[in-house]
Parts: sequence; C-alpha cells; structure tokens
Amino acid sequence: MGAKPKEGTSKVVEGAGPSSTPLAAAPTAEVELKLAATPEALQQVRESTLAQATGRSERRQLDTVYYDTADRRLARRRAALRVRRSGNRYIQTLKTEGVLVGALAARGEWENPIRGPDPDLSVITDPDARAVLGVVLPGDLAPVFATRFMREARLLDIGGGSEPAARVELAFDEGRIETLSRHDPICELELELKAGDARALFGLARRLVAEVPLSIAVRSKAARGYALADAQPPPAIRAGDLDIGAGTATAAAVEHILRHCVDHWTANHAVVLDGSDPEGVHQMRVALRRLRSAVSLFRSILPAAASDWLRGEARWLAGALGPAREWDVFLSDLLAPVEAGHPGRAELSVLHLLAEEERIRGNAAARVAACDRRATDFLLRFGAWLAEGGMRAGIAGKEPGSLGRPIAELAANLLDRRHRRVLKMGRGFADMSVERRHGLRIELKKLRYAVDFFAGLFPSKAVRPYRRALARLQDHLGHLNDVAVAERMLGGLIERHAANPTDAAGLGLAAGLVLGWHTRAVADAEPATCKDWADFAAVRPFWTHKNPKAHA
Amino acid sequence: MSGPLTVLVANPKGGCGKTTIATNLAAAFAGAGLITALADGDRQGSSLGWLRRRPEATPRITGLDWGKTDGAAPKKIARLVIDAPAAMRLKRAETLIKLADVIVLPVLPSPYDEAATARFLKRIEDLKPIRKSRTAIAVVGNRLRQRTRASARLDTFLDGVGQTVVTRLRDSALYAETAAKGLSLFDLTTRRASDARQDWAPLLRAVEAIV
Repeated sequence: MGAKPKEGTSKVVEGAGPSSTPLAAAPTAEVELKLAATPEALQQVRESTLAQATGRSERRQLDTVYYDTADRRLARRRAALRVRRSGNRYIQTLKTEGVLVGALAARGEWENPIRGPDPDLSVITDPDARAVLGVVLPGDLAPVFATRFMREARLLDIGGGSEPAARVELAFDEGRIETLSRHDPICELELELKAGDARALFGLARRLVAEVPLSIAVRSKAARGYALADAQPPPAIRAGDLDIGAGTATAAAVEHILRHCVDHWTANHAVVLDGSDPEGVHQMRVALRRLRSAVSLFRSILPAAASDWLRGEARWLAGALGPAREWDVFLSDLLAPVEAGHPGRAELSVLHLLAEEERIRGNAAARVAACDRRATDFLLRFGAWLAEGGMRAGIAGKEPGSLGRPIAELAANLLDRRHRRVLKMGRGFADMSVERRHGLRIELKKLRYAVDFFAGLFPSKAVRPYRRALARLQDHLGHLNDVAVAERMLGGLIERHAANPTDAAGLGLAAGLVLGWHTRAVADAEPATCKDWADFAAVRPFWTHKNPKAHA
Repeated sequence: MSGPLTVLVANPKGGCGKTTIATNLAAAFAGAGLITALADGDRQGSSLGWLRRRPEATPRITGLDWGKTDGAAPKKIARLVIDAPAAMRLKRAETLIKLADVIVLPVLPSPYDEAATARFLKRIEDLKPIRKSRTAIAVVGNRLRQRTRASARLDTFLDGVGQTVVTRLRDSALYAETAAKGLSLFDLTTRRASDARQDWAPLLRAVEAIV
C-alpha cells in the first residue's frame, strides 16, 4: 500500500513555502489563483451573476491538522504534513515543494488513508518522500496548527463563442486557522483552471475584482499557520537569483525576468500588510523599480501596449509606497545620527514624533495601495498577458526573429548601451549640479538592475569588480539624494504644521539641524564620491569578456 | 543542499568506536527508508566487512570503498555516512570535512582519548567549513556507564575544548554481538535493543536538524 505520488504538481495553495505567488504559473503548470476577501465581499461574490455554478456545486467542512517536529524540520525542508478528517475517515497528505534532498528535487504530493487522527509515516514508502521526511523518531511529530474551514466549490463553464472558454472551479473558503492560543480568519476565494484556456480564468478573476473588492492572497494557509504558531511575522524577501542561461531564448528570458520582478513584489505583499518590518515596503518598491527597469531595458522588443501599462501601473504602486519608505529612511538614516549628536534636544524629539506619525500614515497608505483593486488587477492582467503568450503575442513588425536568439547576444548590447549612457551623463562629474547628479543616479540604478538581470550569463569573477564599483558609487549618490529628498519632506512637514506657530518654529530649528548636519557631511564626502565615480568610470565592463559562460 | 546529508565519523584515535557509530547510523537511516550509502575511508575496511556480513533481509546500504581515494557518492543518495580513517593527513581531513554536513566525533572516557581528541579539534578548527560553521561538530561519548566518575570527567574535558556531548552511548555487549552478524541496534526488535536505541535519539535529531 504505497503512497501514490502526484508528481510535477506546482500547486502553490497549501505548500509551506513563504514566497509562492498565486499568479505567475508557467503556461504548462496548473493555473490556480487566490484572492483575499472580507466576509461581506465573499458573500457578494457568491451572489454575483459571474459566479453562478453551471455544473456541480458542493459544500464541505475541511478540518486539517498540520504536524511538524519541534525544530520545524519539515517546514525548513519546504514540506507540509497534514491529516484531514473527512467524516470518520482520516487522510494523510505529505506535500513537498522542489526541495533538494539527496541531489533530487522532490516535488510531489503523497496521499494515504490512515486509521486515526495521528500521522502514520509507515504508509509512506516512496524514497523521494522518505528523503524529505528523514529520520522521524517516535514522539518527534506534534500538531502545529489546524485549519478549519467550510469550502463551497462551484464548477463554472465560462466563455465560449469568440471568447476564450474554460472550466473553472471557484472555491469559497471561510473559517479559521487555529493554534492552542491564537487564531486567524480564513476568508478567501480560489480559482482553479480545470480545463480550457487560462485566459478565461484570468478574465473571470478580473471581472470579479471589478465588481467586488478583492485583493491578492499570496501566502498559503500552511505558511500562515506556521507564522501564527511561531508568532513569526512574514519575512521580507529579497530578489533571488534568476534562472536564465546564456543560451536561453530572448523571449523566454525576458518573460522570466518580468515574472521574477512580479514574484519579488508579491512575495513581500504579506510583509507590507503585516507592517512590522519596514523592509517589506522597501523590497516591494525595489521589485517595482526593477520591473520598470526591465520594461525600459526591453522596450525595443516588448509589445508597446504591454510596456505602457506595466510601466504605468508599477509607477503608480511604487509612488503609493513612497512616503512609507521615505519617512523610514529619514528616521533611521538621517534623523538618528543627528539625535545621537544632540542628546536631549526637545525640538528633535518633536520632529521624531511627527516623522514617526508620517511613517505610520505612510505605512497605512502602503497597505491600502497593496490591497487596492488596481494592484490586484495589475497582477491579474500580468497573469493574463503571460497566459496569452506575452512576448510572442503582438510582436509583429518588431524584429520577430530576434526573440528566438540567445539572450546573451542581446544582453551584451543592452549593457553596453546602459553603460555608455551613464559614462556620457557623468562627464564633468565633479562640477555637476544636484539635479544632474540625480539624473545620473537614476541611470545608474537602471544599469545596476540590468547588471542584476544578466550577471548570471557571465563569469562571476569578471562581474564582481564591476558590481562593487557600481554599488559603491550608488551608495554615495543615494545618500546625496536622501538628503535632497529630506529637504522637500521637511518643507512639507513644516507647512502642514504652520497653523501652530510654536510647533513650526521648533520644527524649523530641528529641520535646520538635520539638513545642516548632512549637508556638511555630504560636502566632506565629496572627494570620496568623486573618487568613486573615477573608479567606476575606469572599471572594465565584464560583458566585453570574450566568451560568455556556456554559450549553448 | 545539493547532495546527500553527509555525516563524517572521525577521530584520529583508533578503537574509539568509529565503525560502530558509522554502521549503526547508516542502519538507522536505511531503516527509516532513506537511500543510504556507507563509505569506508579506512584501508582496513571494517565497515565494508560489516556490510559483507549484513543479511539480505535488512534495509539496504550501499557500500563505497574510499580506502585509497575518496570517490563520489552515487546519485539519489539521501544520507551518506563516511567512516574516516584513523590517521588522516590534514589534506585528507580537509577534503572529507568539506563533504560533510556534520562531523560525529566519538570519544572514550580515557585521558589518552581526550588528548588525541583535543589535538584533532585544534587541527581542524581553522579549516574553512568549520570556521564558517558550515559543518557542525557532534561529540558522542562512547561506552559510558551512567553517572560514573569517567562520565563527569568527560564533561569537564569537553567543556574545556568548547564542546558538549550530544549523546552518551552506553557500554553494551549488544554492539559487539550485532556487529559480528552485520547487524545494528536498529535491526533488532528486542526490548534490550530498543532501550539502548534511546541513546541514539539525540544524535539522530541533531543530524536531522541540519537540513
């Protein structure tokens, strides 16, 4: 009675991984997406004409207990072990998510009926599954959390005629995640493509979002359960490595890069909502900045319509996250050293308090924006764009042949263009105005992201010195910009408090202290900044290297 | 992790129970349904000898002869146990340590063993994987009687070299009895074996905690 593996599934709904995204499913993989709702919104969807079942419809109470060791070994191996009760039967499921154990990527799902509510690992015999479980001693496993929810599943046939058609399962999940001492509500909608065209699924989701306020839901119930049990806020996620090689076809590489940027964004969605780690807002902004950089980098081959909305929507969301990030930088990088240098200064304490208020307001605005229908629709539209062939659609007339060629050819050209542009803009660096340096900083950022996207195509030894010189220069110019931005922020703050002359006067003094302190520091750092520029201008571009790695 | 979880059982002092620990660990992994290999780094080949005596019906362990050179672990292996040679040149030790996720260091409660262990720890502590904490060290007190003076002494000694005992394996005739038949504590169902197996739980947990 061996467990039956369902290999190759890439369900992202109940895996233990923190960074799975609901939307960026590869064309061949199972397409499934998840939206968060309030109970009222879920009810609205239930009643919507868009969501009426054309096939079977059923309601089931799902009670599931998740098990792990005290040191959370299974979660760390990106596996989840659960026992689901169904009437008086118990079903045990082990799910694994592409973790490397014994040099093999074991991704799969093993489901077995068992006798009672406690897990029984003896029914799992597949070596791939055993490799993930490892040695589990008697008494090692204990319940971590339970999910208890009512699932109403409706089967819908949508589209047809001239529209893309599909069979979709729409599931309404309502209940809660429970640990011994805490609980968290479950209220979400899942859409799964059962058959047909993925475009229809995204179309339905977009129409629902237009009708009812729904937002993206990135974290699986399992990931939320672990976070609840261990009182761990979701971790901020940095952009990981890209999975493209020198021989990857240009179209596939560009799609991968765009998807990577969007994944980076959604991976930080829960962190922004949680709000306890400012790094979440920062990483989400980095993701959106990278996305815009990618769109601009590939503008010669991206369909124009896609470029326009990708850039526009990314700019809107990044803008909405701006104040949270700016006040965070102000408090930690600009105000903190001045406070340390002037202990007990009352004006600075007032400024600190008001800046903190602004930051909190900024965070609230960031949360609202991240859950805004516009953000949700942006993601769904991106998913739909990938589903309809993305790069390959609407490309006519734009060098169609180039899309099949290896990305390495294009990469060197694009890097060269960005690099030259930076050198040109940086001419006469020492005598440059603040505005022109700001322009240069933006160009450097674009160059930096282009380097990030393509670094894996070149020998890392060649890339490293270039990256280092670039990063150092960026750091210096970044600080320069933070000081310039602070001047604008402080001006606005004083204006908002102009009604109270005592406050305004104190604020003016505090702002003067902060700006004076950093203006002087910037002046002191000027020779070092100029040297960073000279170092960067002299560093050898790595893409002129004769043989790009594995030119397959 | 990009290869099998690898356990290196090492101590320059002979006769401290390396082979006993390596074979029992391998059998514990294999018994848990994990695809397991046991690499014998010693020219004497006592681990491989044990494998040759191993009965057909027991959980399978792949033997690897690393007596002269370190080979590669075959694909699909989930756990690799390496029985290190007694006297290793630093170069060889470094190669093996690089492969390992954890070094299991058996120590007998005797002054001679302690001195050899201290020297070994000193020699390897500057190696990169150890320095960077990529490879953990698990000290196992071997052939101990509970609450004896020797046992307390061992604690004091280990404290002095910045280590703690992960587990203490009791002195039991079972080890010799099973070894002679190519078996391990993990192949027996007797009450006596299951009692002695308790000693292994902390070590197995420490190894499994690595991934």
